[in-house]
Amino acid sequence: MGIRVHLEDQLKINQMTSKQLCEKVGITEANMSLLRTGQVKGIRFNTLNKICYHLNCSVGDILQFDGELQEDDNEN
Amino acid sequence: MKYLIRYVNLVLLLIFSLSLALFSSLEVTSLSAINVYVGYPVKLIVDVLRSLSLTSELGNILAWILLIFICGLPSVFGWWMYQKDHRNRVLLYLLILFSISLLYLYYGLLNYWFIHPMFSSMVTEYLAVLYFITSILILGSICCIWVVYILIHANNRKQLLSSCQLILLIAAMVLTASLGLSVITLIKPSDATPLLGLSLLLQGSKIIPETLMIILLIKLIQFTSLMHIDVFSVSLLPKLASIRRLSKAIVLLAIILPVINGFAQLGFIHHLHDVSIVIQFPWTELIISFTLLFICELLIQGIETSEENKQFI
Repeated sequence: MGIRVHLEDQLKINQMTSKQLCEKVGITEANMSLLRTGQVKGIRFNTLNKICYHLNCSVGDILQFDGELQEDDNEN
Repeated sequence: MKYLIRYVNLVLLLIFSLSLALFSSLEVTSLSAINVYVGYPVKLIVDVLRSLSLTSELGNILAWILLIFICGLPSVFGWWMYQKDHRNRVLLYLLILFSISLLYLYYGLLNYWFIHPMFSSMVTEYLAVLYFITSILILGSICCIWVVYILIHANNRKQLLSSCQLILLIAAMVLTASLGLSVITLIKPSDATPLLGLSLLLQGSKIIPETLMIILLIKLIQFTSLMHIDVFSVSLLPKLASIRRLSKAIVLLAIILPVINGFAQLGFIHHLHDVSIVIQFPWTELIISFTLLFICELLIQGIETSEENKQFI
């Protein structure tokens, strides 16, 4: 897969729901769902900054590299 | 205006039918006859002023008052517009300039020496042309002032798009009327010699790009209606693809048809009265179609980039 998103773990640690995080960060629940399942094309630094601030964690706690190379959609 | 845009096909069909009926009822559809009709309003005003000024001294004064009134109307209108909205200052200046130009034109038509000392001796031969040129100058000035007004007041995208739609609609109407004239010239039996085929080919090479251009304008009007909602929406892609296809077709036909026409003239050269082959490329259609092709590519790229950006949170 390439980059894995571990948002669920951080939400459990902070005892926060996805909806609460959406309201704090300012993104829609649909986009949050896409982020949790790793289906987004990219994430802005501003959004990442807000998520890390409200979950009191670092970027590495949310995003991890699993050693694989993800092919671009265009190349496929 | 909304209904005009929504039913643009019907409106243009009506204009086409009217122009067919009008031009087929005219005894002469040559360019010189149309010049006379276009210049007629100017001729009417000039004749009234001249006859009034030649009656008596009082008539002369009345003629002057009428002339100043006619020429001063644009300035008065410009002043009223300026009072309504101070952004119309440029409009006011343009309308004052227009008034001065009108005064120059009409005074020049009444006293030919005013335009050029040589005119007084030979102008009677060129009166119809002078009236036509004056009409065209007046219409052209009005169009320029109207475009400036649109640019001053197009504060947001919606207003600009609406203005663009209106300009496209007027262009389509004018082209449709011109197409009616071309069709009448094609179907009126001018001669039954072998050269008839050549004249059919010549007219056909004008009519086909003109017709495609009108269809393109209709598609552009419908496209600008969609742009009111979102400039970079995926829903615009089918329309853009259609405009791109049509633009390519016009470019190809605009280049190929005149060349075919040239070969045909070469084939009929023994029947022609004078040995000259004319190849006329419709440059306006070519330039517009090329430009639209380029703009379509840019917009398609923009929409694809916008869609990709939507997947960034």
